[in-house]
Amino acid sequence: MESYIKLAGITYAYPRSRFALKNIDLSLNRGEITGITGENGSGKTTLGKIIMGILKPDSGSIEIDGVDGKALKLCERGGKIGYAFQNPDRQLFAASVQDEITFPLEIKGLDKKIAQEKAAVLLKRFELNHLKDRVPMRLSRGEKQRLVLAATLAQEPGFLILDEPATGLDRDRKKALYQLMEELAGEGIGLAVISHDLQFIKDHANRIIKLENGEVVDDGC
Amino acid sequence: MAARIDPRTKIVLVLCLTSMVLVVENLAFVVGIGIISIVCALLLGVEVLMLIKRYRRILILILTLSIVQSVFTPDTEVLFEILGIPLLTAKGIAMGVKTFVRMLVILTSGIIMSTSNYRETIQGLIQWKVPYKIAFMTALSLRFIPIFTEEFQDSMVALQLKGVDFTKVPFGKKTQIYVYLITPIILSSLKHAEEIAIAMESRAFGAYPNRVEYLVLKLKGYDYGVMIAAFLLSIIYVWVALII
Repeated sequence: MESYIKLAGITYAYPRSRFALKNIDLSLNRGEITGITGENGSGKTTLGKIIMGILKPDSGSIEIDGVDGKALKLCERGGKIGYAFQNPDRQLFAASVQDEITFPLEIKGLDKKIAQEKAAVLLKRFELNHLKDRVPMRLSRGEKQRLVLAATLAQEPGFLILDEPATGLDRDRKKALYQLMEELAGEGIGLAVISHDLQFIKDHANRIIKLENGEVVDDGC
Repeated sequence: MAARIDPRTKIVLVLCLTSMVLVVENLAFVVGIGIISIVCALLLGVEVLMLIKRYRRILILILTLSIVQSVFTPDTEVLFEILGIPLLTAKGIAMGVKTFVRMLVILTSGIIMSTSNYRETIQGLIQWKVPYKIAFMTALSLRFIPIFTEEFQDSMVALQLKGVDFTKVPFGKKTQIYVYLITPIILSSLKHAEEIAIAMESRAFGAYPNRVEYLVLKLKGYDYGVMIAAFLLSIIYVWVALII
């Protein structure tokens, strides 16, 4: 498998707090579903935020798609790795579902018509077509999560980090999410699924990384 | 002493500052009020540098709005033009600076009020015979300032993670970006309001006409001193600004 994200000796502590991550060495691959699990406060979300550049590590280095993480701005990392927050509300900006997908593309200079065509494909794929004129904030949690995923995939990232994606989803939606993860992995996109739901991770991940008190205690690769 | 100042004294101070900055039109005096507001915040124990860092994004927004205000204010004295279209005028720049300082004073007033416990602020207003419901709503709005600031910063991060580079976005699209940033904050504030209303109802808010208070505030001599000084100095300041 092609390694896409490499972490070496990553250590991070929140201000005036204990260590959140201690000496993490990891390699995350494209085309693979990696489950990152652990108890509450074990450092799962912190690890995701470190990879995305939202938090800066105290020590260690990150390499993304062969580029030193320090050389990448937040927006550049966002173009390489898609990140779905635990709370989808934090990632919804636009006044309509369709606009949520198209506006970053248009701001980046993509032709409006092409952006709309791209959005139409994604809306269909995520079964959001009938909601395209609705206000994103008024959608159900499951619909919001699908919209966030659709908007993230519009950036064509090589890797996706999903923070607690199964929260608030019913059995059928979880199944659909798993199918989607499989499809994306099949397309060569790497996925890191952060979840404290060990069963969900066991059932669907190719590799399981277990964190405990900020340290990797198990890497089933 | 700063920490012991009664919230009502701070309310008077903030009312004086915001009233002055809205009434006064003279540019130098408006800037003076901006400086006075920062000095007041410092005297009341606010770490302004730390807060400016926290509110940096909002300061950028205020600056952008001030520039827009400046560009769209016509005047005969044109300082900069493109293809005969006046972009910057002397009056425009003055308007931009005034807008910036006015918003800065309002922001600083919020910071000054945040140095008091919000429960004490409510109590202060109630002892001034402000209806409890209105006092409670006012205090809630103050309490939410840091939350909205945090949400705004989170939105900035989330937007950049969508691959949007703020430094490379053309000026015309920057305003559009701020609309996208403000939209979730407005929607989230509506959601917060709805949730708080439900929580208050479930705790039987306003079920009885009379309330008893455990916390009772008492104005000290220096509170009266600060209030009278603020009031009188504001009148003198406005009077001088209007006659010059």
